[in-house]
Amino acid sequence: MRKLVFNQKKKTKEENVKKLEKFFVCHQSQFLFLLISFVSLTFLSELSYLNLFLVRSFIFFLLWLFSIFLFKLSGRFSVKLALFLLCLGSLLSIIKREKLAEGMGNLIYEILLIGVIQEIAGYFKEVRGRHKKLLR
Amino acid sequence: MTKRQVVTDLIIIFLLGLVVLLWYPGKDFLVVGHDVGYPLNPLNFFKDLFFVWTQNIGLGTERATGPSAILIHSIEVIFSWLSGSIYWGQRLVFIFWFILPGFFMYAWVYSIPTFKKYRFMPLIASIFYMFNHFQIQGWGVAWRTRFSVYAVLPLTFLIMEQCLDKKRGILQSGFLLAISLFFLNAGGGFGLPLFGSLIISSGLFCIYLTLLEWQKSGIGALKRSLYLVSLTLFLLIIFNFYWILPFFHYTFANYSQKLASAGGGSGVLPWIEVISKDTSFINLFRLQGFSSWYDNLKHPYSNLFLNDPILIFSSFFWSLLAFAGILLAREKERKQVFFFPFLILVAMVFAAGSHPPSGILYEAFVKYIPFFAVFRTPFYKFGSAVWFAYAFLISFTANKLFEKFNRRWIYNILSGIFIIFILLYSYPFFTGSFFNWNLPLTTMVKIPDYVFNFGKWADSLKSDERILMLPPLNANWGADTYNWNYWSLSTLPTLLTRKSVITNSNGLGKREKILINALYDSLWQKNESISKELISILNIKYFLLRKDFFYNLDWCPSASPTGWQTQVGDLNWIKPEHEFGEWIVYRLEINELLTHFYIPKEFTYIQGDTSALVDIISLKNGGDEGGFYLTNEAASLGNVGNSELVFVIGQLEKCLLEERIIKLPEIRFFPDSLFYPLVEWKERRWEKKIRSFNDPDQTINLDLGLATKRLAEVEKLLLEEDEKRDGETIAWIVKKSMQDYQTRFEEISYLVGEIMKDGRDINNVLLLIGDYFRKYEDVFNEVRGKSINIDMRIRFENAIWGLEDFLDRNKSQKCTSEDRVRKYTINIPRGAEYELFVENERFTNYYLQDPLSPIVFKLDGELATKSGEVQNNDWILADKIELNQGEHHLAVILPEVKNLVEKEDLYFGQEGEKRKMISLPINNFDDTGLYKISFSYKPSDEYKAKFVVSQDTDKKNEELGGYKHSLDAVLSDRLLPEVYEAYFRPDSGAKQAALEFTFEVSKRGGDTLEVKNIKVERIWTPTIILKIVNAEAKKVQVAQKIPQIVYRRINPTKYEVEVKEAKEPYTLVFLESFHPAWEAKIVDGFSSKPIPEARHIMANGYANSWSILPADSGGQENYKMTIEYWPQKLLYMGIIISGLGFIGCFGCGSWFLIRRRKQRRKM
Repeated sequence: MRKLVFNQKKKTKEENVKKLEKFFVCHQSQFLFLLISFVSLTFLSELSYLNLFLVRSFIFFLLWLFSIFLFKLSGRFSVKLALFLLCLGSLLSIIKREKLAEGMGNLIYEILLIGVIQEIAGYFKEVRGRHKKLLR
Repeated sequence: MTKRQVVTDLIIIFLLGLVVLLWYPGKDFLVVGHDVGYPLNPLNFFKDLFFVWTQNIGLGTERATGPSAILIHSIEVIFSWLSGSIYWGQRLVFIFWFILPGFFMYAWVYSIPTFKKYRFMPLIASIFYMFNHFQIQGWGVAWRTRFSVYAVLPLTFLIMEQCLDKKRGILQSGFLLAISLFFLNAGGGFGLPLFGSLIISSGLFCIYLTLLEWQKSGIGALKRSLYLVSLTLFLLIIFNFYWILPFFHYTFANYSQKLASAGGGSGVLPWIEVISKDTSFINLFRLQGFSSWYDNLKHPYSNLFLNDPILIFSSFFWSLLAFAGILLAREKERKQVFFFPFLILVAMVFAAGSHPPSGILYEAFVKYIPFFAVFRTPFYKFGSAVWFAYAFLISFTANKLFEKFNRRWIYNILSGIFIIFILLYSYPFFTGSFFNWNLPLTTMVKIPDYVFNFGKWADSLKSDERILMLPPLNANWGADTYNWNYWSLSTLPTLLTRKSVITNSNGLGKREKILINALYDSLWQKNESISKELISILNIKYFLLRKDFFYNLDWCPSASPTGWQTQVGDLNWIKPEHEFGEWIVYRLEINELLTHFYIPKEFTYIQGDTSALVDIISLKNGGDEGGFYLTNEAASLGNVGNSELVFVIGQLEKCLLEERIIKLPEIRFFPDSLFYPLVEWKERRWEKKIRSFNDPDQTINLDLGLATKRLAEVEKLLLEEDEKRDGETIAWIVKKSMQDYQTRFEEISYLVGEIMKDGRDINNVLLLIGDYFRKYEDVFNEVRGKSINIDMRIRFENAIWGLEDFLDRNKSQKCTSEDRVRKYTINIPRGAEYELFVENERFTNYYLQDPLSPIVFKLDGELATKSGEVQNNDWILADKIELNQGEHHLAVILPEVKNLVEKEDLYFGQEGEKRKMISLPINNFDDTGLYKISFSYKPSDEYKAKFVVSQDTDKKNEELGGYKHSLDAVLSDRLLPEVYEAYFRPDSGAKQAALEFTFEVSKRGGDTLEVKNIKVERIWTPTIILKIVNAEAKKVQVAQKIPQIVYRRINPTKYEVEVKEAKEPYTLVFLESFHPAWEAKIVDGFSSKPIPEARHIMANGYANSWSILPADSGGQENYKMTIEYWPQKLLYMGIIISGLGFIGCFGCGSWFLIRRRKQRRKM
């Protein structure tokens, strides 16, 4: 029985790895785009005066925005990630890594902003759809 | 939810509001001091708010914001009256403000049908809204104005949502919104910035609801919102017209001046930075970020929240709960639940102020959006919106999670536990420790009974004479403080009585402060004649000596009350009148005491400013019911009748012997930037405009400005480690900037030569250029060591040579007061014989011989040496001279000054010496003096040498370590002899100062430094006065002819003066601070004739006066006059408009109701 459970677990693990592999294979172009974006943004941030705007947190913001569009991530995903990062932030604060925690706070803000706007936009769409349905 | 449950909840909120009673350690404690501003006599204070001029602050001042605070202070009056005691009154007021936000929050959450199924949601939301750290901070100073906005926030949401959801009509909603904002108006006036959070949150909510409704009903939604907003604004303006009118009159007249005094839009940025120091997003997510929490070991509770791991985690718990709501919201709940996280994120940008990463945006708002600078404490102005949104979301998520257990009793228990957790997290509410803002100072104090007794006595005084507080306040803080732990920038008597109780507080204007400080000085020095004259013109009848004054507070020290008691006790005309415990009132028995309105027997005309008045009083050695007319324009004194009392003050050329402080501008774009062409385009436009004037002075200014910019580019590039640019780019930028600098420099040299050729006065231009060029020299000396190639080094060396050469060449051309020569310009109003008075030297031990015996001076180029005649000990009559009308130049030559340091030469770099510091104390040091420091030095290469002037008041440099010094210089490492010269003005209160030389050899070793001729000289500049001697002039004997007056005070803004036997022209002086809005009118039956504005002039350096001619009264000798502060009429007008608005609204409302009822009956 125990062996069976172990085998099942092993199977699930293998399946997950396969799924992940499949995900990477299916989204190669998206990952490539993200990589190119990252490299170009990093390069642009080295140029004088563009470095005023393209700070690290803004590059992250842009990359996260691209990811949302490329992988069709939902607003809920962003919120969940932000909540996870908040927990990490609390640990950083507890161990007195204030600078890191502050940087984490900025990331959380950006992720939440995108997530919340996505959710609101989705809600508006839903309301309109529901209303059209009613009118029909 | 049943009605019973609602009543239970409301009772719980009310009971929790009684926590206020726990704060008071005893029955006779009150929350006062700091920024609390709680009146100790609410009714008296309230009455004063009905006037836009108050006698309560300084020597009388405009208070256009008074009427706007009527409603907020009316609550204090009502509760004090109901309870019959100030103590219970305050407790009731605080309970009211504590529970009001809770009630409105409850009402709003309860009103949303979707959430009615969550039994504890309204209660948890309202408890969190009342008990949180933002509120704790507010309660520390009982910030009632902020509480009013905090309370009205949920109410606005309630009304707005019901209206936009079409559950309530637009008219009714608009009226309700306007009336709510009318009653809870944040104190109006200066409290308006507190509406920042309300504007952001309600504005966003309105847009959100409109867009949402748009999905259903299209453009109709937008119309409805616009109608609601327009109607609300219209009614709000009408209802508040009573204070808007005087306030906006005041604001438009003073905004730019007030903003400029704060340093302009950019000037408030440093303060915003202080407030936003800790408002990072992570801190805001933790519902923290209060500027007073961090780096403050004395804070009563913050250290626990910042260091305890459990509390740190708990602080993140709120955000986890709030944002988890998004994941838990069901379809119908999404409307509110999706909006509030968005509100949090938007409000955070504003609450974070100038803190990165969004700080740049806030700074831009402050700089470029008109009036945005009023939000100078962003965290406190926008924080309410963040806490409001959190309160809603937290209560939602908590209820949602508890409901998941599907058992009523578990839901109830968990809700109860959660409420307890909220209360425990805000535990300072139960200890009251938040009042201890800097122990022993606290806002929870036990005010001694004698303070109230004094207040009663002061209010019983019938006359308008003033009371002067002793000892004076600390000059830097201007704070009133007592050893019973009170400290505030508002003096205690302003909260206690309507009488004018004055001191050197921040409520005084600049001119008034000069006079009051001069009075304190003369009293301390027991100079009776000056004291009496100043007392007389300031209209002071009593002194109030406070023996409980906290004079030895380490960071806010002042003079001891015992010392002052001894000083005043020695003067026989100061008699003790009353003793109220630790407070003693002295009556001043002097003949010269003037009434609030008087007609001077003689008028003294002075060409100078208020500070000159004290000198003239000292020279005149007292006066007799006189008046003083001061002007800076000689022409105004050209025709002042036959008076012999005309004085002219010599204006020192380049008043202070200090240099202007030249600051390099902030550089954003360098020549290699894509945006630099924009900078160049802007500069070219500016240059074209200036050159079109064809004025060499203006062109020099332009060149100086642009050269300074170029230099700032070079400095920033070389001194701030630039890792992003390679050496070649840096060299190219420096070359480009230096080329432009050189062109500007050459043009300046050329223009100076041209001006000289024309024979025009170049003195001021040379002084200005000198100050700039010395700054340039410093910058070049700094950047020289950072040169990255030989070409750059040569450019810098050449620039330094050029500057030195220019300064040396033009040194002789400059006409400025120098070390031993003081040069004055005298503008003589009319040709006559004048007596020349020179101020006697008061400081011994500074000169090698008596500096004014004999007096050596040069008048219009003619040298004279006079023995002089000492008058009143303070003045020396140097000579009698005939002077023509116009400008004259006088130079007084002083003898050599003593060197105040003992060693004149120092040598550094003896064998084996790697680092050495030598300190030379300044002898006979006095913090009121100005010192010139000079020495020459001969350095060797590459060593490090520093020179500073240290004082016992120097503060620690938090950023760089060590101390911040007034003078701090790195000595040049060029191999040539250098001369160092600087002027040093000590910090107020400094008792010791010393020159400190620090020397450090380079790694190579063998460096030396020779410092020679070290000199510290005290700079003293005698005041020069010229008094007219007119053979024809006779003292105007008007004693018998001056009219008799009797005055009656109607209110603080209106007086009635009865004039009898006015046969000749006279001047009526009104001893209230000068303001152009005071108007004098001669009443003739039902009509009145105003005295022309041109004859309303400032007398006695601060007061109002009107010169009145017989023609003004149409030849009548006996008549009545009214003296009125006219903006008060704006208040009356506003009250009428607001009143009519109210009547109109209620009338319309009633008519609609009646009509609706009739229609219903018909149906």
